[in-house]
Amino acid sequence: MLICQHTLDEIYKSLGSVDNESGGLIGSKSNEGILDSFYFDKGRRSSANEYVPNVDDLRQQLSYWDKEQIKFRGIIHSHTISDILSPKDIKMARKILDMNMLSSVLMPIYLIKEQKILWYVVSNDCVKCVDFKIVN
Amino acid sequence: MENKELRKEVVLPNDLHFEDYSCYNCKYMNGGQGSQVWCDYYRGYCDPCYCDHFISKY
Repeated sequence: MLICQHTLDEIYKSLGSVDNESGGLIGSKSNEGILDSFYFDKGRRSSANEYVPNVDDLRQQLSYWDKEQIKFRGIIHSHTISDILSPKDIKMARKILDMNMLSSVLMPIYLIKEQKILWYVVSNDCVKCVDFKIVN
Repeated sequence: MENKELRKEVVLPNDLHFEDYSCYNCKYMNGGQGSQVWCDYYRGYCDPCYCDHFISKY
C-alpha cells in the first residue's frame, strides 16, 4: 500500500482535529494505485462511539471524483478506543463491496488518542491489516 | 485492490453507519449485538461495568 505524504498529512490534520469519530473517502488518481486523494467528512452525526457519514456529501464527492477519474479506494474513520474494526464496520464495508461488485475495500481506522492509522482491507472472506509506505 | 465493478460510479448505502461499541472501562467490544451486554441507559459502557459503577456510586 502506497500513500502520498500530502494525503497522509491531510488525514492526520482532519481526523485529528475532531474529538468525536469522523471519517472520509480515500481515493487514487494514479495508475499505480497510490492513495493520493482524501475527502474529509465530519459526519451527519457522531459521538465517541459512532460515526454516521453525511452520505449525500460523500456521494457528491464521489461524482466529482468520477469526473476527475479518481478511483474510490475506501473509507477511513476514527475510533476513540478500539484498534479493530467493529462487526458493524465490517458489515458496512461488505455492503459497499456487494453494491459495487468490488472484491476488497480499504477501511482504515484512525486512532484518535494514539494518532495512528491502522490500514485495514476488508474483503468478503477476510479482514486484514496491511503495511503502507509513504511516497512524495 | 482488484476491481470487478460493472458500474463506473461508486454507490454508498443509505444507511452507512460506523459504530465502535467498546466499553470505556473494560474495552469489551460487542459491536452493538445485543442489549444483554450493552447498556442502553449509559451509552459507552457495557452492562457489567455500568452496574459496577452505579453500585459503587449509589
